[in-house]
Amino acid sequence: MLCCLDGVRVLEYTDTPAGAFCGKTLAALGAEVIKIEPPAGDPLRNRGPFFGDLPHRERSCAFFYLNLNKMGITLNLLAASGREILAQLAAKADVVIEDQLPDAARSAGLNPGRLLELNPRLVVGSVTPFGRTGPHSGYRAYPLNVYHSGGDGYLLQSGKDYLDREPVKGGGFAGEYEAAATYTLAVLAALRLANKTGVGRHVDVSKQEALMALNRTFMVRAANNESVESRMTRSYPYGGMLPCKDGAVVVQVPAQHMWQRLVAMMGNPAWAAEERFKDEDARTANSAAVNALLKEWLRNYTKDELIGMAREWSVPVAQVATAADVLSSEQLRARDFFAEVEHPVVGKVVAPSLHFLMAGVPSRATVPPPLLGQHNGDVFVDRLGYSNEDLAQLRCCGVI
Amino acid sequence: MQLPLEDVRILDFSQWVAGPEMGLLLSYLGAEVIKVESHERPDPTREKEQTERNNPESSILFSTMNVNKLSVTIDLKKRTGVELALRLATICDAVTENFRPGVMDKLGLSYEQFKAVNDRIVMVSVSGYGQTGPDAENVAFASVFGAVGGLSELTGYTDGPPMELRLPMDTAGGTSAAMALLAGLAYRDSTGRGTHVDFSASAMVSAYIGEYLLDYAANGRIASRKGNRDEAMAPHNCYRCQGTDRWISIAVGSETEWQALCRTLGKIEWLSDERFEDGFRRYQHQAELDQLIVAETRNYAAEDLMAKLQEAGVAAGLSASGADLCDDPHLRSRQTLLTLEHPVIGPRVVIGPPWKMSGVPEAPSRPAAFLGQHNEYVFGNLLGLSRGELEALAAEGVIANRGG
Repeated sequence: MLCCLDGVRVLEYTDTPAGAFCGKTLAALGAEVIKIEPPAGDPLRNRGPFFGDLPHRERSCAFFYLNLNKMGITLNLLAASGREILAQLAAKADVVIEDQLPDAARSAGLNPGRLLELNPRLVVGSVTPFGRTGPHSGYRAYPLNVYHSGGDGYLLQSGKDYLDREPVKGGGFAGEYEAAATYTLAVLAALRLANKTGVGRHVDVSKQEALMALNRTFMVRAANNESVESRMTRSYPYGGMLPCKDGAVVVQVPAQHMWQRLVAMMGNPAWAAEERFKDEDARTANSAAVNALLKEWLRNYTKDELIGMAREWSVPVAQVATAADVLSSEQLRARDFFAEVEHPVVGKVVAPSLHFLMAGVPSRATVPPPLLGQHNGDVFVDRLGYSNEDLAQLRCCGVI
Repeated sequence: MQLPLEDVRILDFSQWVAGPEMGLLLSYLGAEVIKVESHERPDPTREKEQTERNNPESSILFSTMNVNKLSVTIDLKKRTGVELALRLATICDAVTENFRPGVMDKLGLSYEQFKAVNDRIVMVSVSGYGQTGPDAENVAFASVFGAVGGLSELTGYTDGPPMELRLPMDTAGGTSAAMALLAGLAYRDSTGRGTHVDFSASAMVSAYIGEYLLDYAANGRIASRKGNRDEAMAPHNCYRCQGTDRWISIAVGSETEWQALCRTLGKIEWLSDERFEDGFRRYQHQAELDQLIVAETRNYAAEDLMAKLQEAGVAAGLSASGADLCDDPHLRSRQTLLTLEHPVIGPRVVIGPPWKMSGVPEAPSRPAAFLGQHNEYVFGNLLGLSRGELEALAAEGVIANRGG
C-alpha cells in the first residue's frame, strides 16, 4: 500500500462491492479505514467462493479481497447505543463512506445532514444504485440490476448468432468496481475541498449514472435525435473477438497505420490491396468480409504465436486471459501487482494490489482484511475510552 | 474556493478516449485542462463521426470527449515546441498523457524532464500495460485491456464465446486514472512533492476481477462465463417483456423478495412448488424458474413491471437502452444530461458529472474547443509570452492557429 493519504481517517459502512472497493482503494492509498460491520458481519462474508471451498465467515474470497488493509469493528447501527458510538467516531473522522438506500442509511444514523452538523469538516460519501434524490432513489437493485440500469448490457454483443438472446451483464462485479472508481474520485475531490476550505460535503454518487457515463457517446444518441444503439443495430467494426488455432484473440486496429502493420504481419496478402478494404470506412462497411479473411489467416496460428508476432509488428492483438493467465502474467509480476499477505485463518494469500504505481511515494506492506470485530478493542477501548467491562456489556446487549 | 480542483491546471497530451475521459472528469471538478495537439498530429478522434466531411471540428466523438478543455497547438517534433511545453508545465499542477510508453521520453517530455522544471508536478501516464515490464510497449486499445485483464473471459453467455469489451474499458480506465491523479495531488498537497502515476489499464481490469484471481490462486478454479447468473441468488436474470427487445432484470436475494415476486406476478402456486421452496432449490432449478418467469414478464411493459415489482420490494429494473436513459424522469430530475451549443455541430446533449456534491456550484460546461483556439490565451495571458514571441513561434511553425 502507498502512503498518499497518510493521516486520513475513514469510516466505512458498506455491504456492496462498490462501497467496499472504494474503502479498499482509500486504504491501499494509505488512509486508515475502519470498516463497521453489523455484529453478524458483512453479508459479503457469506459469499462464495471460499478459500479451500470451506464456507466460513473469514474465508470468503470476495470479502478478503475487498477489505485488504482495513481495520474492522462490529457495531449495531440499528440500536441507539450503536448510533451514539458511530457519532463519536464520525466526530473524529475525515470521511464516512456508505452504500445504503436512503431509508436504511437514515435508520443506521448515517443521515448526511446530521453527520455534517456533528462534524462540519466531514466528507460523507454515499453510493447507491440510483443516487440519493429523484423518483428511483429508493429503488432496490443488486449488482445485476445496477449493471443493466446503466445501459451497457443492452449493448454488449456476442456476435450475430446471439442477437435474440437476453442482454448480459459484465462478468463478476464489473459494474460495481467501475462505479467504485467514480465514487472514489468524487470522495477524494470533496476531501481536497474540505482540506482547503475546512468545509465538508455530502457526495452523492449514483451507480447508474457512473455506468451510463462510461458509454457517454452511445447513451445520448436518442437525445440528439440519432438512432439508438442496441446489440442488434450496433455497428460491428472489423476485428474484435476472433477464433485462432487454440482459442480466441482480440484484434483492434482503429488507425490506418496499424491496419497496414497488421497486413504486413500477415505477409501482405493480395486481397489487402482491394478497394473495399482501403480505409477505415471501407473496412467497416465490409467488416464481415474483412473478418472472414482475418479468421482464415488466424486459424493457422496459436495464441502464443500471434501475440509474439503482434509484439514484433506493433499490432494491437491480445490473448483472452483466464484467471490462470492473469496470475501467471510476467507483465503483472514485473510490476509487483500481486502482494503476499499472511492471514491468521486462511494462511498465505497472493492478492492483487493497486493497478498503478506512484514514483517516489513511500509504501507499506499489505495488511490482511480484519477478522470480524478484530479491532473492537483498539477502537472502543483505546480510542473512545470504553472499558473492557463496557465492551462485554455492549457485546451482551448486541450493540457490538 | 468553490470547486474541488479550481486551483489545478492540467497540461493534457492525451488522445483517443481513455486519457481524454480523465481530463473531462477532472474539468467537471473545476480543473483547467489545456489539451495539447498539433496540426501535424491532431487527436485521431477528430477523424471519427464527423458531421461535416473532412472537418475535424465536426467530430461528435472528439467533441464529446473534450468538453470543457482549452485547446492549444504545439509541434512537439520541434525542439522549440518541446521547450514551450516544458515552460507551460511550470505553470501547471499536473501533466496527463496516454501515448504508448516511450513516446513522451523520445519527445523529450519524460517525467524527469517535467520534474526538473517543476518538482511539484503530478504526471499521470495511462497505458495498456503500464510503463514498465515486458509488455509495456505493446499497442493496446479498449478490447485489448478487457481481454488481457481477464474480464472478457468472464463476460458472456454460459454457452457462448467470451465477449469483446469496448468503450467502457477506455472510459473506466480514464475514470480510475482521474482518481489516481487525485491521489497524487493529495500526496503533493501534503508533502510538496510531485509524483509520476504509472497507470496500467489491463491491471485495472485484473483488479476488477480480484475475487476470481484469489479463487484460482487458492482453489485452482478457473472461473468462466455465467451470463447473468449469480454465485448464490436465483432468480437472477433478464426477462423478455412486451415489445421489441424490451427486457427487465430481476434479482431475488431473500425469502421475502421471493414471496413478493410470486405475489406480484400472481403466481402464488410457485410458493408451494417444492422445486422452489428455498433459495438453494431455486438456485438448483433456476433454468426452469426462468422459463416460468418469462412466460409472465412477456405480458407486461417493462417499465410497468419494474414499478410494480419495486413497489413490492423486489429488485427489478430495465435493461436500459440509450433511449430509456434519455427519457428517464428519474435521470431528468437529477439533471444528468446537459445541452451544450457547439459552433459547428450545433446543440448537443452530453452526460454531465456523474456525482453531486452539496454546496458545490454546478460544474463549468463549455463545448469542445477548436484546434488551437486558446493559443493566445494560454501562451499569451497565462504564460506571459509577448506578441513578438508568439509571432516568432508561429512563423517557425511551432504553434499555429486555425488555417495556419
